[in-house]
Amino acid sequence: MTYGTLAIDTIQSSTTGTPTQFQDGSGTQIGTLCRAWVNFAGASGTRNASFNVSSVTYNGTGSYTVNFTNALSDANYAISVNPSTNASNGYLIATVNDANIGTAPTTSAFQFTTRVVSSGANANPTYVYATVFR
Amino acid sequence: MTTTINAVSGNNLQVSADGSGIIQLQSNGKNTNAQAWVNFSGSTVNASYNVGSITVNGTGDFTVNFSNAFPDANYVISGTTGASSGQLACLTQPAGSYPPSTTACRVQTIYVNGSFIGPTNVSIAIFR
Repeated sequence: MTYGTLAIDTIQSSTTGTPTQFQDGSGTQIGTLCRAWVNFAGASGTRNASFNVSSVTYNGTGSYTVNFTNALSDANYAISVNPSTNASNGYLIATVNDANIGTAPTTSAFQFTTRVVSSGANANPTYVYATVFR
Repeated sequence: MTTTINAVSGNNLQVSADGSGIIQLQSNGKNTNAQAWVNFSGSTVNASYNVGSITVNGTGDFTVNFSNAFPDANYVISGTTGASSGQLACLTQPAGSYPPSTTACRVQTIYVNGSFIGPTNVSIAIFR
């Protein structure tokens, strides 16, 4: 087969809120685009760069709410959060909140907590990286 | 020549090009596809996009070197690490000692007790 070059102005999905899919030659879906991503400062929630994230609410030490600019169609999206280290606590790990701890993800936002790996205490990473797929 | 797709409103998409060789699928001017990704084991790159090499700085301590530099270091690092059976491990970015740069980012793989691990497989995706 030959490889073609796509030279167009706009690709639009046929349904509101449904992302464009990418398929191989057999029509099998091979990927979708990231629905939201954000890089923010753990001490404040201030965004360094983002897509489809209107704000990050700093709820307190190691507790954050990521608010979407455009809501997702449901709350069944995939969330990935990677905290960096910080200057004093060493290694941190992130856990997305569910209904038992804080608020479960909604179509417009999700919460998560960052904790020190060794102690389990809440702590602020220097940077927080989060992505959302649906 | 790179082609970019950009959406001007809602979640529609457009395509455009910046000459770097990196595909950019955008919505409202922000890239929505990964700008780099890699699956590696030690210094061996199993599969990748826009990653030139992996530097092994020590056990569980790696530098991901990009083929094409980013405009700034405010990208998102998403990743996971493998671990030995029965162990809980995570991947982190050592911001205090080695903050990300436009050409590379350092990542470390650790057990919950804080010791470094040399995983058989690490997966990373970069968004900006």
